[in-house]
Amino acid sequence: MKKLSVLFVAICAGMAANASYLYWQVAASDYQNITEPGRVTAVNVWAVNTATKDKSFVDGYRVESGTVNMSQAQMIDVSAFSSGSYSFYIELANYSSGYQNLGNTVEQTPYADMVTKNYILEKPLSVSQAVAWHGGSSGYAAPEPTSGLLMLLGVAALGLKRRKA
Amino acid sequence: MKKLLTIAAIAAATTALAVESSNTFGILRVDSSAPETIVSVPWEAAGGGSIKVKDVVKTANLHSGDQLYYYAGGSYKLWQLNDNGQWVGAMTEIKNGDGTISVPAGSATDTLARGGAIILKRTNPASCFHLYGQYTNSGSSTTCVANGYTLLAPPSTAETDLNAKTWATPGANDNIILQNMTLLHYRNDKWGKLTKTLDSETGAITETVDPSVAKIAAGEGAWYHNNQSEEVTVQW
Repeated sequence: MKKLSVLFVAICAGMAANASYLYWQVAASDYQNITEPGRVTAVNVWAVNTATKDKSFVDGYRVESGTVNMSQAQMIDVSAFSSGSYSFYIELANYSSGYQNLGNTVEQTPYADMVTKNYILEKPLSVSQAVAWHGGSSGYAAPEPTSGLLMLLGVAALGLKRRKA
Repeated sequence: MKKLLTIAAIAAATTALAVESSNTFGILRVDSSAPETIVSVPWEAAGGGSIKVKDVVKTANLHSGDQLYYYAGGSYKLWQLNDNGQWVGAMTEIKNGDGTISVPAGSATDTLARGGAIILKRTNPASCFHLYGQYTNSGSSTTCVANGYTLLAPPSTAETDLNAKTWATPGANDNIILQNMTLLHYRNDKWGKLTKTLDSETGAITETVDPSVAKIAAGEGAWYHNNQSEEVTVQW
């Protein structure tokens, strides 16, 4: 019976290893409430193992003009984190004198939720529906309970813009 | 007329053989058990020219309810296999994080040129399916990709190395998404799988690209995401 259990776990682990990618963006409008925008030199996306709390670098954007303004959403492979064990967050940082975490722009979002919202795509049919995962409008300075709603509004606006285009 | 037609080959694995004449039909076996497969349009319609969407995929090995998704101009069209083994236009809805996308029925006259692709969605996938068309391998064909998402495929009966083709000119933020969802970026005139590493002290990001995975199996296709205003072309 024990052997059967081990085999079952192994099969589940194999099935969880889907190829997938994340579509994300932090535009200027996403962080309009940041009190010290000039201090942001880097935007990083991290994956967190919810069991061990270990975090892994997923993708990043470097701020060159003093203002975060990713004109285009970025795609990055997140196959290595494609299981229920991972959550994702977007971080604002400053590296001008060593690493300094300025806070998170969105709360940690589980992998499954990212798939449901089409920020992470796993299947060919979902590709053309890609919706960019945006940094929260409330920024790092004063996270508000409504930040999630604001993020969704931003995403909806992006979707409308795409459909018109 | 029928006597003039030559059945080229029922291909073993992913190989198709044919003796070319003015009317040579080819059948290409595609080994895939994926529920969703991006399907190539390797050949043309009878008599030449673009082939009708409903004629690309043979219905043997498929089941009633299986679907073909055609993507153009930013939206899908759908065909569904009926109980009589025919592809007929059908409507559906696709849910995403932004709401629901309505998918209208495909038309019997919708066509696809060589180098295009469609998505075959199977409810109970067998290990293979077959593509069909008037065989040709003459000349090279060019696929143009406008801003946004485009389904494309090498019009070939053999595996294609994307880096052996002529591209003009992908942007740094363009992507190709392969059938297995491998994501490719374009760096230093090559397509490849991109990995980024972070220097935790300086914040510098180092990129490495593996071009060995930039290949498309015979009969399969890929998504091209053109993130720039200029058109991109590939000469197959």
